[in-house]
Amino acid sequence: MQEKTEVICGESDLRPNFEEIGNNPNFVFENDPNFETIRLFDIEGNVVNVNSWLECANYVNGGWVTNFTNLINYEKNLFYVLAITSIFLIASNIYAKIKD
Amino acid sequence: MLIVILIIAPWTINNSGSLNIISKIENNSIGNYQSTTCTYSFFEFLVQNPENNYLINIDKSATIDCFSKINGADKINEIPVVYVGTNLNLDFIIQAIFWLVLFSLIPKHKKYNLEFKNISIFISIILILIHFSSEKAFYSFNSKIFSTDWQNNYLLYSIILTCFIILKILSDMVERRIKNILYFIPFIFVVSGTFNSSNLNIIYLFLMFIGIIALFKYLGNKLFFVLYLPFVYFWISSIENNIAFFDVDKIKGFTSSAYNLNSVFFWSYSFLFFMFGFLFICNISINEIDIIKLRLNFLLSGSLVVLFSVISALHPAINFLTYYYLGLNKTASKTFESVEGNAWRGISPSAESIGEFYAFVILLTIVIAIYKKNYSLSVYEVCFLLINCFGLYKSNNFAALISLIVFTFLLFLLVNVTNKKIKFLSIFSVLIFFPIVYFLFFNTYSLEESSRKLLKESFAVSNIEYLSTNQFGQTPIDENRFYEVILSEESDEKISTSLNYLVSQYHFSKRNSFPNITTLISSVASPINRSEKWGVFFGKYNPSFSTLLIGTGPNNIVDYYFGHDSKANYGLILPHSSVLSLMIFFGLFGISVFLLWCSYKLISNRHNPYYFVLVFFFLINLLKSDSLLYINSFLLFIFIFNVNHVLKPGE
Repeated sequence: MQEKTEVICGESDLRPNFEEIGNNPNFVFENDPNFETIRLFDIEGNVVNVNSWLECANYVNGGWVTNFTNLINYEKNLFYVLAITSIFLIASNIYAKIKD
Repeated sequence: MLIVILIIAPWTINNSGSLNIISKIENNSIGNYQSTTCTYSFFEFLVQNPENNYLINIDKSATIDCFSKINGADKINEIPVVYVGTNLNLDFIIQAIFWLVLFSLIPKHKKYNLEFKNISIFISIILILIHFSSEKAFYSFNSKIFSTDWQNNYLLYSIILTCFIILKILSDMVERRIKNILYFIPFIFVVSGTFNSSNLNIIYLFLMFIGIIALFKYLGNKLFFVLYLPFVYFWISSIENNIAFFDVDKIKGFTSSAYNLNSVFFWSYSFLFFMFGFLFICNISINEIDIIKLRLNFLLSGSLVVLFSVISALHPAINFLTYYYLGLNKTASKTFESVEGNAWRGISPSAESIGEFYAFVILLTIVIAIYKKNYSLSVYEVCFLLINCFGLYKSNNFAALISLIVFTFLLFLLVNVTNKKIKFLSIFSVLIFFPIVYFLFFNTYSLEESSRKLLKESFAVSNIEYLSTNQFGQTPIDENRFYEVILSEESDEKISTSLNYLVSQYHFSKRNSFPNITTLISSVASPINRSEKWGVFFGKYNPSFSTLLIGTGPNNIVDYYFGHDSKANYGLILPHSSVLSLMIFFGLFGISVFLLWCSYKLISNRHNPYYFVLVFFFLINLLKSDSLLYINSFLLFIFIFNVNHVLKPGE
């Protein structure tokens, strides 16, 4: 997870306790003016803009990602199924032509 | 069996796999539905909620894993609404497979070799890709991950492969069925073939594919294509402002949702190929059509439309399934009650167009009976005819009913009166008598008032709040001083060019006591209840001189809709006349060509009363309806223009 957080949010010396943050309903993430805003997505496609490393790490820990790579897996699988079907169709067509 | 599996399987297999069951939808359980999205399948939901005390809405932008799942709930007007997830890619596949299975039910004949199939598939896919890239806003609304970037864009790759597979299978199937397709023309009123989350229609794609084959096959088509190129260039070059999104609503699949270079390019060429395709099919098979079989299919399809309309109103789940599998442009009527107390559209997007269809089916039955001199119908046909009559009654299309009566009467005269003088006199009196009676009974305005009613309606949708009022609070429009309004400098941008023209014509002709075009249009519009609709059209229609002549391209009303600011830029307000729609698409030039073509067809078939009656019935109704904006009515119209090959007097 730490590696994933570093990839998405960048490096930091902070080692936050996410459980503590999650259990504290009054916790407020402070904006870091030096932190470039990052847009994160959840599996539903919801979007959040994070403005500090801590906020970013917290969301990444909750499963949020920077792009739809995770969602695309389904699309990828579907693409492979369709590709195999297409190859089968072309092959059967060629076979039918040779047979004729 | 396969059809049943295709209807049930997509909504059952992607279930939660959990032992917990979804709660019953009630006011206090909506919160649960909102917090447990994308978990339970539509089938699991239906098992718990067999009643019909809720509504189903479609969440078109769901991801693949959330397809067919319950993706939320709301309470709208005190009625619980649940959202069922659908997905752009899966819709494309599931709906296409279902329709291919239906297509396979068309009886086979000896193989008809189609050349240029592969090149046609290739060009079709290129055109479809252009379509997807041109209507980005529409697809972004319908898919969370839609993008036109090529890198890792599996959605786009999958769409290309899906199109390839559909067209490949279709191309193999069509060679053994192409000559029987026309028998199934009426069924496009049952299965409209519009994809749920795409602005595409399978019938349109299929005919486009066939049309490309026809382009390569016939020299005449190639010549026409070359002549067409400058028009496409003109339509593209006349784009002044790109418009990203237009809500196509009930005309989905047969009209553009954007106005830009690529969208005009796609709809211009695809429309040409679509026309080539249909005319090609007519050309090779219409002479062999058995009119009795065709009659049965028309009666059956009209009855099926009524049947599906009725069952769609019984339960929200059935309503959803008919929408999805029949490829409806919009979900069917959810109740048996009429819209605004006057019309019931059922599964059709428009009560008006389906009313015309029912009336046409009845008229065709009468025409064929007279043509064949055989007035007996089978028991089935009588039942179907009665169901069509019920459909016509429910659609409450008064114009279609009146024209059905008039043209039936006219046909009897044309066929049975042999004396030429009596025939001419009786036809003349029918053509004069009915409109006069109609105008006397239904025109409640004086000639003066009806001649300017259209202008008042046009001004009502124009942004002219700046007009000064007199001591009684009346504007120059209330006082019928229309020309004064357009002379104002502020009006330059606010008044559409077409309204400007109509006002000028009205103003100066009135002074000179000349009859004018404004009075003519307004007086015709008033008794047929089109003053408001046509008034809105002229209030919005703002062509430049060149687009007035050539239009903005086929199936593209976006510029008409948003090109000029008015009070009627929200909600889908159609022109309510197919002639006006053609005017937007092809301009005065297109209208002239259309009229010349109609005249040519009618004059060359002047001794064919059956043809005459059917064509005129359609033309009269098109004057006041938007039917040509719907793919099924459009194809029926083109088919009717070719029935002279089927109904030949003296045979």
